[in-house]
Amino acid sequence: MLVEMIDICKVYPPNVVALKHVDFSLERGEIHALVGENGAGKSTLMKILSGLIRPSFGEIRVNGQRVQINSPVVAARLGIGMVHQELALVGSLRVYENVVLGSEPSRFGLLQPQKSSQMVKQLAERFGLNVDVDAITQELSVAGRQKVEILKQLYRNVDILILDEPTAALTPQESEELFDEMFKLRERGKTIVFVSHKLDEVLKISDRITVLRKGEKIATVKNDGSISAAQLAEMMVGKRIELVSIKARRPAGDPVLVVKDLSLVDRTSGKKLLDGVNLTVHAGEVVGIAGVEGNGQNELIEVLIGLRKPTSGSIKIMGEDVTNLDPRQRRAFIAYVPQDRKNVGLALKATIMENLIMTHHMNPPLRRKWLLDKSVAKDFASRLIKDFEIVCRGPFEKVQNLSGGNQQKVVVAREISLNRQLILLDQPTRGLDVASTQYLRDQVLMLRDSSKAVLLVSADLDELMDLSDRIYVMRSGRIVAELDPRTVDKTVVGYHMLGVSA
Amino acid sequence: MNHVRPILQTILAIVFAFLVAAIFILLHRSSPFEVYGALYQYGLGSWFSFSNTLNAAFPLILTGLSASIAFMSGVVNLGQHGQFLWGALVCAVLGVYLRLPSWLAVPLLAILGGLAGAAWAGLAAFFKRRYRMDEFISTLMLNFLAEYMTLYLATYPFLDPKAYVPATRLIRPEYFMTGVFGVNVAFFVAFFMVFLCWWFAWRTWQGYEARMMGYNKLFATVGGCDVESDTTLILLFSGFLSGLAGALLILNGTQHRFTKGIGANFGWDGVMIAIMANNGVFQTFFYALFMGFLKNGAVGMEFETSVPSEFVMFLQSIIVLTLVGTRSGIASLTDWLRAKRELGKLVK
Ligand SMILES: Nc1ncnc2c1ncn2[C@@H]1O[C@H](COP(=O)(O)OP(=O)(O)OP(=O)(O)O)[C@@H](O)[C@H]1O
Ligand SMILES: [Mg+2]
Repeated sequence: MLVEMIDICKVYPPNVVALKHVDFSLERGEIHALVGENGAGKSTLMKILSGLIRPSFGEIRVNGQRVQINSPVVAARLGIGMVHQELALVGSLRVYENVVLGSEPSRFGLLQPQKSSQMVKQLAERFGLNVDVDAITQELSVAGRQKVEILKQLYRNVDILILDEPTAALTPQESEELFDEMFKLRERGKTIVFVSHKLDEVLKISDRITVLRKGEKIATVKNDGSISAAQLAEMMVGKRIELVSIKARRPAGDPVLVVKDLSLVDRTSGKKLLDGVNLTVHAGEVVGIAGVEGNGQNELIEVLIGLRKPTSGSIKIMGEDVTNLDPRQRRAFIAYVPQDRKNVGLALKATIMENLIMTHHMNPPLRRKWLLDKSVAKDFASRLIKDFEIVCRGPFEKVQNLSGGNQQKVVVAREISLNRQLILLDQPTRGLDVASTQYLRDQVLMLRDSSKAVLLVSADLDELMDLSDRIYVMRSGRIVAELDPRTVDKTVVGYHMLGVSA
Repeated sequence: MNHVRPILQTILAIVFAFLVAAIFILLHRSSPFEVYGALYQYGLGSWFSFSNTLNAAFPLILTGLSASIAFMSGVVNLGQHGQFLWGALVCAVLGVYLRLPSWLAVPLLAILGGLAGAAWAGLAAFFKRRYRMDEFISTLMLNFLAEYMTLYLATYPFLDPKAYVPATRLIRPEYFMTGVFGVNVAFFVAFFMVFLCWWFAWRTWQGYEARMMGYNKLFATVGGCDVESDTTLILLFSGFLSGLAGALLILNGTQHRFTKGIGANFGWDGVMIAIMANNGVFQTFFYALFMGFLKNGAVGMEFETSVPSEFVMFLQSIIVLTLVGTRSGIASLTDWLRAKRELGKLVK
């Protein structure tokens, strides 16, 4: 055994038990998947292995030797590197600087930015990760930043690579490329831990699978074709879950969102980020936006919510021109799940309740003239925590103590319950486990059936195909196609995304 | 239990801070008993010294609140000093010329002083809205402006010809605020403002918006908070509190006039108290009292013992630093102990 984690327990101070007597092992040259519901303890276990946090109990052996992994530096010395679920990059640095940070190539003590940039570019090409290495990191989308995190560990050439939900924001093509690279790494004797909620991916690429449930290890199984996604899901949850939803659909109603000739020009570079976008979303339909990440989807959403002013064009919601309204005024019509929960969707240091009542706080019953009704707020928060099965110790816990998926549930719960006419969903299922994803999808379809208009941006093409009634494809800031997911299949959408003819 | 634990931790930290300072007193070849005896005697020991401590604390409470309310909302108002001076000057000048029955004039003067402070902070709000100027820099610069402008006004147009230093005339004696058993009425006003601030921050929806803005501005913006108005409101409110401190010091202090160098450190002490208090409202109140106690007790340490006044300042700093340092240490220690207990249940 390359790595053995024996009888690991973790109690987060003061009293959150996150892991109970977990055994976990890695063999050289395997891809080991780690699965479990939101809050099961996956990230915790991997943070312990990568030295970010310490176990409360238990021991770790690497190559049979007992080790104390007290810091990421020690982990790095042991050849262990981790790509974290919650992205932590220096926003003001360029991508390649972030990648090489801490182990920059240098000559005679001087940094070599040219060389770094070149090396990182080659690395990105080799691994098929489509990202502009010279861009300023904070201008990238979540998916872009995710790729930077992956490159960062690949650059360090570690022996044991831990990937905590690396594909949550990647497009299927990018995931494929990443998997190919993972296979190559495996051939070279590297070991990879892969955390994911996408069970088909897990079954496709891993050699062994470990299932965690509520801090306990349920099993480690060999992935030799004897296990199915349904069985895995059952192990994770402890009961059978239904994975299908029925798509009963009513004809679409009046237009809710009408976007005309929307353009956005980047002031510094003069680049057209949005170029004459026209689109309409009707009441009672889900409209998907497909596209390779970085083709204007981000900007479109930011313009729609009012964070950026369009250079030209107009936006109408329910017949009213909102082009010049600020986000606050637009919020009267729009529910919005941003892709970046950490920076946009949540106040991590505030309590779950304070996060859940945002935007709701503007209207009764929460707002009573000057006041905010505390008891209504508490009941409201408790209800959402229950409905969305947010794993926590109550409405007054801080959001930063929640697992990634549970943080996402806070955002989703708040916005879905807003009851607005237009719902913007930007990667809404990022980090959600199977059951929560299912729950969200059902909610979205329910909203659609109650005549709401939903605009869905997702890197997950399957999700788009399953949920959408119509799909717009975006490329280079333009809408290049409008497709009906019932008549075309995934590959056709893919062709349009890449701009090659079918 | 949730509230009791931090209080106990703070008390422990205070005890520890005094122990650490005691070591320095020993190094200075003085007796800690003697020094702390004097501190206690002058800061808390009798009703007289206790009420003096409260009286010393009221401007600190207000400037501390001013900083806390701003910082908790992510608004960096560092202009307490300038806002304080304007509050004091406006109150001092109007207190000379205004002729009204005192039951009306006194509250009016206090409020006008507060409004003067608010107006001064309002300038920063205006610059921010109009020219996107960071309030961090504008409030800081406005301090210098306020200092010179108020000094000018006190030296030339409103100078008391009989004074030896730049100072305005005494305000009308019937406007002097009194005390209740030696405790200034101004203290009760400050106490009331503590509750008002708490109520604002934790009960009103704009207080909620302001706090969320302090946690994450982008989150608040996207969530539909009116970030611009909230920032303006906070600056005005924060300025009002500092201005009120200035006005009350004129009405209820010892001088009853605006002199050069009045309230020298109240502004910056307020910022420091807010930081010690983690921008908590009641914590601010507590630490302002604590600072008032140290200040008042320091007088005793100088009078009664052989330690020089510089050393007293040094001791104050040691106490504050150790207190802040150990407080979080003790908190993580108790958390760690509780985690151990929880683990004990798990492992047996
Ligand atoms: N810093 C923390 N303080 C307190 N509790 C924490 C902290 N971090 C995580 N937890 C708790 O520990 C448990 C396990 O969290 P962890 O992040 O390991 O879950 P996960 O399996 O990675 O879930 P997800 O799929 O949502 O990412 C959760 O109940 C979470 O609330
Ligand atoms: Mg996780």
